[in-house]
Amino acid sequence: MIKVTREIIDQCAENLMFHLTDDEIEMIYDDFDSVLVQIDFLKSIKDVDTYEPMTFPYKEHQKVMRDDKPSKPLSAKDALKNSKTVLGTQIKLPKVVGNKNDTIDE
Amino acid sequence: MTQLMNKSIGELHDLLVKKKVTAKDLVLACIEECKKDTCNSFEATAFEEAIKASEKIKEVKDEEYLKGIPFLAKDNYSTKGIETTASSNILNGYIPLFDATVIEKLKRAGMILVGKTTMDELAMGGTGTSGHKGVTTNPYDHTRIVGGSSCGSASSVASGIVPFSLGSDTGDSVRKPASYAGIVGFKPTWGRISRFGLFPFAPSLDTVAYFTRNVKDASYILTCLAGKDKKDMSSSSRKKEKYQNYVLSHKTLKRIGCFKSVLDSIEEKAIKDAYLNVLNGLANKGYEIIYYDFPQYLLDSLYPTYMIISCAEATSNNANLDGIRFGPKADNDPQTYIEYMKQCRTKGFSSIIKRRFVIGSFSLLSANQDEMFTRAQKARRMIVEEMERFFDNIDYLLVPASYSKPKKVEDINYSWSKKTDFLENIMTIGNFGGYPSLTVPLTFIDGLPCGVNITGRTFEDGYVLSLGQEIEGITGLKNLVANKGE
Repeated sequence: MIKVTREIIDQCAENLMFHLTDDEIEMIYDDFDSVLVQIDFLKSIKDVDTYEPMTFPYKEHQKVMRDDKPSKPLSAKDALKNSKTVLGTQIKLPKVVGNKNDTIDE
Repeated sequence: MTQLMNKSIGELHDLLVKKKVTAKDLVLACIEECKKDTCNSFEATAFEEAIKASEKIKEVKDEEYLKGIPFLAKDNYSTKGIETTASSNILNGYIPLFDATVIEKLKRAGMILVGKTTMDELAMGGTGTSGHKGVTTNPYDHTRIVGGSSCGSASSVASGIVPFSLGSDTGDSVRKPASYAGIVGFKPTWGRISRFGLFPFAPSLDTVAYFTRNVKDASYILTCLAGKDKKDMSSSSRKKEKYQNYVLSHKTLKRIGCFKSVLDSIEEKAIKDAYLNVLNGLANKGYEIIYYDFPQYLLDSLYPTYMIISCAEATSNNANLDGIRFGPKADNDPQTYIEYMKQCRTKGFSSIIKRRFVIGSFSLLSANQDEMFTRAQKARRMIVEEMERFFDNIDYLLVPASYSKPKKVEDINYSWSKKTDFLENIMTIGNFGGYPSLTVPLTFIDGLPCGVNITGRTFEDGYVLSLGQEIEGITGLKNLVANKGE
């Protein structure tokens, strides 16, 4: 497991697309003391890794395919109702093409 | 007129059928109560729309149990034309274009939406103190929490504003506040009710849930809400039932389980005495009480399992909150769309939410996933498999829903705990296995309510409700309203 550092916390925040203040990083860093205790506890459970991960509460097989019928989509006017910066029928954002800085940090 | 809203759905329904009141009388009385709210229960109100809807109701027939009754919804349900923020700044100003399926169903049954209630931000919290409108307090003592995350829905039912409100339950977000507020809180079987239009927190655990002041009312609400929804592929296609029939005919199963370690660990004498009193009362009515030795290490794993799974799922489920299609505008002239999103999300989420997301993201890093997220999912299976063994021979799990008075507001701490504190987290079992789980009032400690919780097998919601009614008979506690005291 990756060691918890302030840099890793900051990197997680950047992956999540928000910035943290120094105080927030410190608060989360301190909290990881408790998180690591809890992780160690899970690790200590006998035979835990012999179980299959559970992703849903119970097994139930049912048809989930939607009917192949067209439905009415939102109008452009409705779809843009909640956006703050609209230009015509589009949302206006800063320039995307041709800017070196607009790649997501890995 | 104001005392009208202290009545249950059933009592109001009788008045409507007998034409002693109109739906408009009820809505006006409800609005009056909303304006007198002292708990900080509201995110938004829809008074004009509610009055208009009430004016369309000319008569109520006996079989129309819910028609004409005002209700409130937690602010994480999509409500057409009413600002919906999930108590987070990231959604300030967002006005949905559609109603959640449950809102649609309630309106179709003739219920009248009067407003939206406060919650812990994005439903991530159990205190009712982290929403962007501040602390929602307990109507029995305003210096204390009412619990969360469905805080405003709990306080409004408990303080006599509405007889029913929608909440949602991912860990115990309806059942714990119900305990602190002296009301009924029901989380039906996962998949029994459509979640279309409910903002997701942790979808493998999230359930539509709600508050009423008695179990019979809760059974009618489930009959209205249950059923397959094509818009929610996780909703169950199992046949829905008339759940009130279980309650009206007192149809219950007979074997009640009690975890030995829970009984041994209750420190508050008043709660232990009341809990034992209920067990004795049930035994006297012919129920078999079985003491079950649930492994302590599994009880201790409830907290880390819940926290890791819920934080990890939340991380991905809130990725759509980008500030572009809706939400707050970026302030500082961002030069790229990436920076635009980062600015919106930075100012939109509180520090508490950012912490949960970071911990969730950390647990999902490829180098950490096996030891954190996947291991928590394995622990979840161990817990649920043990519960399935429990349910092989026992029909219900009965535990106190809270183990002390609700905390003072100033004592709230948002940090992760180093302790496992299984009693405080015991109701997460209901979410891990998708079980129907119901809290009803148990007793009062120094004037503050405490509930008892019943959990049953999946899709045995009717039996769980019916046992709840049995317990109401033993404790004599139902239809409680805070301003009337005990």
